[in-house]
Amino acid sequence: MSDPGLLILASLADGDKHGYALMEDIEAFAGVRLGPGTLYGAITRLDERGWIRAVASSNDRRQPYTLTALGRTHLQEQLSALEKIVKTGTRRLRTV
Amino acid sequence: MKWVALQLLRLYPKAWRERYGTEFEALLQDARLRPADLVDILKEVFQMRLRDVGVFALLSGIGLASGLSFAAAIPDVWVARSTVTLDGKDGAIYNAVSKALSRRTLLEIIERNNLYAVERKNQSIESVVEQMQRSIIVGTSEAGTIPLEYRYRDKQLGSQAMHEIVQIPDPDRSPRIVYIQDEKPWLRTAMPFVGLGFGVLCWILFRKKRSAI
Repeated sequence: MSDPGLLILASLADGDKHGYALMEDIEAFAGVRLGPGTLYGAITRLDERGWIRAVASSNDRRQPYTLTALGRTHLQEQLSALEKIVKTGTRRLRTV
Repeated sequence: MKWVALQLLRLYPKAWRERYGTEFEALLQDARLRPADLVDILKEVFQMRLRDVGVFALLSGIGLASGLSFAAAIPDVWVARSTVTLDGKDGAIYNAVSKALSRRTLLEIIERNNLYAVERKNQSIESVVEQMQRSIIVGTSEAGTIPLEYRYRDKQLGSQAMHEIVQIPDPDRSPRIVYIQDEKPWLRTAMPFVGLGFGVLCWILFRKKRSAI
């Protein structure tokens, strides 16, 4: 599971984060280190789709992002689909 | 490493740098960068540039293809020109031309030369004859000569029809038919360029909209 967009959405699910905090959090919970180019490429696409949005910050250089309602719905859908795949795969592995 | 990464930031599209440049720079300053990160940045720059080129190619391609389709859909029109010459007064000449362009005469010419084959299948014969009448332009009489023009999509058939029309007042005369292609070719040439221009315009608007996000 290394879709950068999904990892970012999952990371933002527990609170707003800026780029560096996202990078650290994703490495901690998924064991995936997103390069800066990949991370900001994904942030750009999520922002354009309206799944995340920039929020006001006291630090004008570090820009935190928050999950939008649309982004939350998309994340839930993706996680449900993944859950189904995990369950099916696990069950089939047991029967082999 | 950081210095190189910060230089690579310049390779991003201007609109992207204006929107995300400052925060991306902050990330590059904060993160512990590895050599692989430089490749990662270059890869993203390349993809972003490629997307721009892709959108440009797609929109201009659609515009060009539409223009070419419109150009191909413009029918060929040929103009056959000739004159009717009769000794006598202008009134007599006009009468002779009127007879040549009468419904009955044109109907005979249509049937003999199989003109307007498609239209005859879909429309009444009266409207086909009217269409032919509208395609014939009678000029002003000058020294016993009246110029005639007939527009038709087939050069040979149009020319033959005109030949028969001008022979009706004077069957012994061997008329000279001049045919030229209608002025439409410039439109056919212009259409692809108009389509391409429209595609490029859409791309410019698309870029403006994207940079406004």
